[in-house]
Amino acid sequence: MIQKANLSEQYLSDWMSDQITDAQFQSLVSTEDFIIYQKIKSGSSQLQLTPPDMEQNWLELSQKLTQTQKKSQPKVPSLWKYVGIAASMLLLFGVYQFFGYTQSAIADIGSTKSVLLPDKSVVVLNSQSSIAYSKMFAMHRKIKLDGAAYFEVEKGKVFTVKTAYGEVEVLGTKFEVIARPDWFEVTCFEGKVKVKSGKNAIILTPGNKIRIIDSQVEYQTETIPQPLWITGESGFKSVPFYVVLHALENQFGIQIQYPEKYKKVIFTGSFTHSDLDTALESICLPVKLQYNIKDSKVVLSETALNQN
Amino acid sequence: MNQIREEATVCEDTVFKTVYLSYFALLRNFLIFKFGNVQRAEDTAQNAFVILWENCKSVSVEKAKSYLFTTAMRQALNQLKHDKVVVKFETQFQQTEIHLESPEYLVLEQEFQTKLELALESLPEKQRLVFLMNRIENQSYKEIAELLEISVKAVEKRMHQALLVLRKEIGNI
Repeated sequence: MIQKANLSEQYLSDWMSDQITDAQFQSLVSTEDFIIYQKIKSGSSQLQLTPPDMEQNWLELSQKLTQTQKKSQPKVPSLWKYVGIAASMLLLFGVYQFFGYTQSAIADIGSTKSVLLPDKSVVVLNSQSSIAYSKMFAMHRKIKLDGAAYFEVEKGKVFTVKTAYGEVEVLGTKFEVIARPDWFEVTCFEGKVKVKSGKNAIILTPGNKIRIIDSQVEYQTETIPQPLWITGESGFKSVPFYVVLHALENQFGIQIQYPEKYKKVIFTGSFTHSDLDTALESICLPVKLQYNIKDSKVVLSETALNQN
Repeated sequence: MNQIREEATVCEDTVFKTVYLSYFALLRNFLIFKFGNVQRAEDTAQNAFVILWENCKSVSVEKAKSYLFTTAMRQALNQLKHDKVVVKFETQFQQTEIHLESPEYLVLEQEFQTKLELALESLPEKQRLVFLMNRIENQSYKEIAELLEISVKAVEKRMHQALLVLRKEIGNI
């Protein structure tokens, strides 16, 4: 009891916020209590509320706002008010012109595209990927990315890449970001890269990558000096097979059908961008599938050997 | 345009909308923890935003969050305390280690989750708000202290009490 008083009266809340360690906490309570408290800690972190419908609520809120405004408005609206509105719309338009994401670049199916940014940084876009940035980019280095891209950033102020998954922040480095609907990956090739998603942030050093597929977070290492696709190849290291197939679909603008049970087979390998037949061969051979091309549709099926 | 000057007021439409997008869900969830009623929580949260808009000239962006919470709480002040509240949760099982997810393990986990939700119902309002804001909304003790306008020490005490109650209730079920 004396020990408890010494440590803190609120040892439970201290432990909950990781101000004291599990070991310290364990010395204060019985084993049975410890187990239950641990379950409460992890169990409560898994609870969630159904999120609000933001649009519906905004609509209802706007209605309430117009109702209260009607009550308090003078009967004859002054001309100056309209002049004011017109002026602020002009101003907003101007601000948008400067700070909105008005500049963009897209790489079409099967091609890569190299873009020189106003600050002399270089972005190489992979097939079916796009970026957008503002006219004031040189002052405010922020860029939106949809798809996959390799960056060589000039030294300077913070350079931020916004994706649907979160933000990637750097000062001056070489790195790759993949933000496809089913696949998020950041690889650091040089310097330091900070990856932020919600409240979490991690820092990557050269040769390291973080990957999120199916909400599973993985850390991996990378030995090549730049992404393979820069030189006309797509490389993969232990990723689910469907991710490889999606990349292939993006690269060649085709649709692929394949046996469901191969979806989560783990694949390591690469395919070329120059020729569909060779590409299909190099991904089908390791998993013992055969392919059949009909127009822009490809059907993968099991070989006789595989069916037994 | 994503970066708004902190000292700016919320009178501009775009700023107001940003404040709405940043804090509406948090305020609404807080009110659900308080009332246990989604409809009422959303209604009260909307009203707080209406009052914020009406007083936008005197509220800076920096102060908007605490202003919204104070306003919402003042609105609910005249009403009775809600000590027996049922909050409807969704449990998000994290797939951290797949091999652990044997059927028995899942059933046990589900069972505990039900016990925990039952135990939460018996928390007094003050403790429930602190516990849920911290565990579900990831608000630090300091942030909670600012929103409730109490000291960090008081937040820690409520958290400690909440855990004692939960431990006891779960043992009883």
